[in-house]
Amino acid sequence: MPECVICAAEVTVDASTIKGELIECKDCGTELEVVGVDPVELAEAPTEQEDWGQ
Amino acid sequence: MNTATDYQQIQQRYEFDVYPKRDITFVRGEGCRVWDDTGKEYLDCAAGHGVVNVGHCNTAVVEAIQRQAEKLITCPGTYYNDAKAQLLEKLASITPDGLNRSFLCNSGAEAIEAAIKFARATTGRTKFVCANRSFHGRTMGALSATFSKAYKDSFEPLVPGFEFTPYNNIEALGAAVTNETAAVILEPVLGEGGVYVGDHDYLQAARNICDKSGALLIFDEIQTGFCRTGKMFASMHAEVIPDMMCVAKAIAGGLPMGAVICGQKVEVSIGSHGSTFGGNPICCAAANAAIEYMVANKLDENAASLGSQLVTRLNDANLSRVREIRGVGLMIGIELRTKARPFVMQLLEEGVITLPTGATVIRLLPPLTITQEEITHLEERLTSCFT
Repeated sequence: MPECVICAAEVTVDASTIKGELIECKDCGTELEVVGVDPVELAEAPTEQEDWGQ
Repeated sequence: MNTATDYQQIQQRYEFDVYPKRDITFVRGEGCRVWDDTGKEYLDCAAGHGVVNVGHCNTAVVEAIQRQAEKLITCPGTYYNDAKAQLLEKLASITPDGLNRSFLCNSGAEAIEAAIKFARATTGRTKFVCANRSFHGRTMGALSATFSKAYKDSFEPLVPGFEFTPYNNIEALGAAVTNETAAVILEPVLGEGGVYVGDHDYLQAARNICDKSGALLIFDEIQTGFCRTGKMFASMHAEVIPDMMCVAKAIAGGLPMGAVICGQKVEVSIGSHGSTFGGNPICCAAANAAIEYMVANKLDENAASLGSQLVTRLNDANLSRVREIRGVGLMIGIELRTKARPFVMQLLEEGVITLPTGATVIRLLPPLTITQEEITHLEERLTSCFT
């Protein structure tokens, strides 16, 4: 099972995952991006700089 | 005469800009549609961040503004005014029992700011409990009640005394609220935080927790109010009555206005707060017309039925790029498996305006006057985009 790149917690990734999928680490809340699928490889997702907020 | 490009250049040169810009200049709106300066038509499923629930340039609102503009445009709060009196009475008639006195201001952030001050003055306490993922505005008090560090980092230190607990977690809320808590501030549905609907049990528990500790309960209905979720106010789904309800956005059909609608426990001394433009006759006239339109045209029922239909059909389509669809009425969040912004841009290119919220959620807040034909068009565009 892949691990969170920040806290090393195990991260559940669906078998049908796709490159670019974003997953939140349930332990530390870090947003992780699937950067490889065979095998599954995770990286910390880049922070969105753009704010469309209200 | 300026071309459209000139307008963009002028803004780029002279606006102290705080928003990223799209290369589009909007010049006209009607109902659920807006047009840019090239004549391209868009289905507006953002409605100015949930502002024009009654549709762009609603005729009843436009006529009310025109009539009032010829009579009286400004009137200080120290004097009485006919349009203001009518609006105050109207707000009391559409809110739950006990919420019958409103402070009128100019925006949602101002409403939250006022509610924070009213809670401090009423209770003599200075601590507040808010929710993770909350968004309440960008002024210093409202920002202090907002969760995301991204909004706050450049402006620290903020107002002290604000604590955050996980949304929909009754135990955590109960543990955080003490006899030093002035108020709990909650959105019945988290909007900017990703469109998470508050559990009825959670909102009812928040009421009980506040009652036991002597804290006030403040609901932020700025985005959820005025029929957006299928009822006049979202807290009506859970049948929970707060001590203060903050409203804004859709209240005046597109004109800037906010209000704090207060219950009997809330008291502040005369002269302790104010707003030069708050409750000005033009915005009050627009709000009177907008609210009358919402009620007469049953926009709550339209939001409930068309929102439910859209969510059901999108779920039935089993869209490969969608992880989850959340929402109530016509406040809908589509959580994607990947980043939302490329799809927001694709939809924009195809003539559909949506809003991203967080990295993966596309938020839909269309005017509540949206028709069956427009909902079907939206469903087709979303299905095509997310398949």
